[in-house]
Amino acid sequence: MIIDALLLALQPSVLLYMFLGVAGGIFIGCLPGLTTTMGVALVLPLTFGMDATHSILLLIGVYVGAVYGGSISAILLNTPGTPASAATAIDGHAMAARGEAGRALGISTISSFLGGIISCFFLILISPYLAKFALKFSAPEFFMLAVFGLCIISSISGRSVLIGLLCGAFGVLIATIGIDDISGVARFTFGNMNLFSGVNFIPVMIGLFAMSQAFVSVEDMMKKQSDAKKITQALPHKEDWRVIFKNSAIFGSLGTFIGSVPGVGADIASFIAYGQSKGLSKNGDKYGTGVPEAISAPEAANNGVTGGALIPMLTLGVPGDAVAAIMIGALTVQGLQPGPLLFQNNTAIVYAIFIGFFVANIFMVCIGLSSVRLFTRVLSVPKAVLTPIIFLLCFVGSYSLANNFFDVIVMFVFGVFGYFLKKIGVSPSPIILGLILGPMAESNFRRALLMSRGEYDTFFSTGISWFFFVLIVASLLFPVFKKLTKKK
Amino acid sequence: MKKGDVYLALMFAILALVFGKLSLDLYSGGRSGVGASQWPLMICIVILIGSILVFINYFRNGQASVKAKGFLSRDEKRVAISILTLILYFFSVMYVGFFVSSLAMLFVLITYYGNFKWYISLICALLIASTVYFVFSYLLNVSFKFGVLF
Repeated sequence: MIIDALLLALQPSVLLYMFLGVAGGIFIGCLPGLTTTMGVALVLPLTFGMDATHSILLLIGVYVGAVYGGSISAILLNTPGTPASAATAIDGHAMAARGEAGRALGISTISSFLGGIISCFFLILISPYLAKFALKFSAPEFFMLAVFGLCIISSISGRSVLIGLLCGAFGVLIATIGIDDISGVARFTFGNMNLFSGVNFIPVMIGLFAMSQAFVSVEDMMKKQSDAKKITQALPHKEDWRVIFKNSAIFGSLGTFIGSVPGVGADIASFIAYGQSKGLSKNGDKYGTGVPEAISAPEAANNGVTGGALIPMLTLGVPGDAVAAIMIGALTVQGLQPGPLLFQNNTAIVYAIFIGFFVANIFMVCIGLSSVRLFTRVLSVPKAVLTPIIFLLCFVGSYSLANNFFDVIVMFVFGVFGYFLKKIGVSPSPIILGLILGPMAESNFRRALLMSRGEYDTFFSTGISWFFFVLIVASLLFPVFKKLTKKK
Repeated sequence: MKKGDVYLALMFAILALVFGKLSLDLYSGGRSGVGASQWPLMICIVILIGSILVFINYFRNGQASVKAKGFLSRDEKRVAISILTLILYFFSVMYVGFFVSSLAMLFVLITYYGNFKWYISLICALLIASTVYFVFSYLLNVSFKFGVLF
């Protein structure tokens, strides 16, 4: 069986398709506004004429490449290519701004690779068990998971936790705009049709991170640009390796688990990893200034999600995220039905997917590391040219999301707002976190209460809820405890 | 607490008041109390309490000394001009066309920010606009059908 799978996955044409998929995915991931889902969806029609192995492994290649690719623009331009890289931008760009872009990209590439490989092992070894556990999640558990994610605001707030919490709450409030999923009532739309589907967080993210950063570049235009020739390091430093291995093991596993929970994506995983690694790190107080742990943790987690998302897809036919949903479509087109029967009837293809996923990660690290010097050349482009390019990419990135000019306006408004936040030293990350987690928290909070007829003890009715409650309390108390022990 | 924090908290507080007032008019969900209004109302209350705490902190700890400065510094004026240029660009895209407007925006901003000769700026603008147009329009099938030109 394994031999059959190896023969399927290691055909030269399959390897070529996967290589092209990973390279294309990295390119799409780099471009702000083009999400991983969009990248996989764009490639999907090309797979209709292929057989099942070529088709699914090409898509997996794009998936793995795009999740990693988002970190490149996040580190070099403070412009997360995908929402999953928003957490990486915080410290990755700070390290690049210090003239260590190569080191930051190296850390990100190796951590993404290790996160992906760890998730691959989980995928192979414990996928059926993990999928069964993930399916036990219902509304109260999802709500507790969202609250656990929101606890990270205290870690990414910058200089003031109170302001960070306000920004996070603002993000959650903005997320309530649009038609309410449960009652169908239009909320805060002011009669504007564009707001009926809510405020998409991708234009907001492009505005807050990329556009505002471009305005800061305009302000600093007369300052001397960092010399790109100084970038000689294309790999992590010696002392970074220990951090990378440790973080990849912890947060790659965490990402796999989060990815296996249907509906929770790489963006949430990377923020959770960022917050938790801050709590665990000795350099927690230096987060935001460009520490290796803060790049390694979110990158390992978001690539860990790629394998995790495949677990419920393959074992139960339930998509872990939007990309997995597209892959289910691709498998169905090929006449395959994901789920327990897939393991029974098409074992060779399932194992070929496992092997292909592993190979895609190897391609990713090879392309990533060999291109670090090429990527860092971006920094040698004069600011006077690079900044207008960022303006143009912000426009195109937010417009191309839905071919809607309204998204461009949203991006621009949040770009100006983000610039104001930067002027007063406030981090925009909590707003994005609130926007991402707000809808998940609200819908599950209300569903849980509807199911329990308004009984609040439903949030503590299962072991999983209590598990998350303990994690929430621990993640809130751990930094305080750490501070107290440091003082002693 | 900085003065900017107070402005930010004030903005959030006003927003919370407006959204809170609008929430009250939404369906509240009856006995189970899980209608469309509860969640935004809860968030508005959190924002209001947070904003009040920011005000209290600011006035209790004494206002951070802020040096009075002119309306806009030279660097900030450059940002303001860029913002105005981008607003003009957005209108231009709608009425003139994506490629032509992008070319003009890139040429104007590259010339304004850098001390390049005009033909260098034009070549840069042409290369960037063409590449972006080709990648997004032809490779990624993004429709840029705006304005009278292209």
